[in-house]
Amino acid sequence: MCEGMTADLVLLIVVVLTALSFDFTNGFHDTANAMATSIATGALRPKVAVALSAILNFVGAFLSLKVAATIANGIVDSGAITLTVVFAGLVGGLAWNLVTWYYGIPSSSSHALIGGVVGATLLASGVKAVKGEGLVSHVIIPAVLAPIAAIVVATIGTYLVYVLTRKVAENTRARGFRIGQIGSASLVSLAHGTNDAQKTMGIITLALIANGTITKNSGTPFWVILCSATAIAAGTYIGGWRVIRTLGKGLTDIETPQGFAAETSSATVILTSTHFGFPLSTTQVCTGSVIGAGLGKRLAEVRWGVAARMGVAWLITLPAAAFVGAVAFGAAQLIGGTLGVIVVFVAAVVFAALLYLASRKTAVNAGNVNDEWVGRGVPSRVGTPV
Amino acid sequence: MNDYVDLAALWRVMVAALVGGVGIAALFSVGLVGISSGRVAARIAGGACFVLVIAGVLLGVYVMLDK
Repeated sequence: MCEGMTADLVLLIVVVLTALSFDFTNGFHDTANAMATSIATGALRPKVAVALSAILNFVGAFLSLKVAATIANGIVDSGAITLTVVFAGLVGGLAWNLVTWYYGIPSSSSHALIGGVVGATLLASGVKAVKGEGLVSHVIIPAVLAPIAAIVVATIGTYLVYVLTRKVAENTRARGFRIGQIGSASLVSLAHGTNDAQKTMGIITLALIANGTITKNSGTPFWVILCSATAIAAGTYIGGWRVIRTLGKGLTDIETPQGFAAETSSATVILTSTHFGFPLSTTQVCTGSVIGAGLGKRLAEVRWGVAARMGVAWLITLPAAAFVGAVAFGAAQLIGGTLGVIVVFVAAVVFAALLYLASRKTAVNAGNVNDEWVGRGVPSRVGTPV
Repeated sequence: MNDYVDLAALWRVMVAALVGGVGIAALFSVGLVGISSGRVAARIAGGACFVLVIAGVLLGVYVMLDK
């Protein structure tokens, strides 16, 4: 019995560590959402931008504490969710986050996590445990609508911003929109903290309940809130420079008024969708806003090749993460017990380390993130690995 | 609402995002025009626009806390 308890505890610890690792990658993957345009326009120095975003994500995590102890709610049958399924789903989401970071592609961490859980559930409980209708309504339709809504708002906003301020002195306009852009980007960062850190809190709380460590009614322990907030803030501060570069420099060349219009569009679309119960992916909204900012300024170029690459990545997020989630679950089951989960965890750590080492050969960092776009994510002047 | 998409919520999101997003961008721009003008009345109007923008930001924070 004692051995069984120890194995359960080890499994719980591995799940919690994996959830916090996912939270960390969620942070550095999504720094770009709020700060890419501020960095690209020079409204904020790169290191200052990621520090500000990290602080706001940390604060945001404490602002909204109605934590739902769920994962992929409405998409997979809650009865099919075991600790191993949660773990394998997290590994699927993590792997997709890391691969897309390596290639500098903004993609939704939430959709990656859902994909991972769906894959693990398919293998664990079969097709009947996955709700196709939920998948379409919670993931596929919002993935199409999010960028469209943001493109429309940002295009009109950008057009108006340029038309209305055409007679304002250039330095006054640049200074004014610089301040506005910092404000709207801060709002996006804060919203990100309130949304995404909550997901990790929910997953860890769910794991604690499943393990019997806490009861359903005991609420989320403070250490869970603190650890989740710290992990997402640390990830944000590390800065996913590769993604920041693609969003800030790759899609279009952004000026301060465009950056302001893009961030204002992102903040309003995200907050209104939250308020009216139609949640949209922050990443997809922010990407759409940047495209809209390019379209709204006459003669500005949008690099549709880069946008198409992102679109393809969004299309395969769900199946790719599901595949990894299923493989992770299958491998853990094949080896069996807690040992299986530990082996998969170690394999995931090795994969992450190898990808990190590979990224150092073409390092993108605060020093070269704003270099001229040369048709690919990695600048001509490769940064010093840090 | 159909089986796959909550059309009522989607409609509200689109209208509110358009009004909010475009409105705040426009108000901020008019505010800049106002405060960069030499006339006192224009400066006051510009300041009023910025107050409305701040009210929009506070509404956004309220939405975050209220969910």
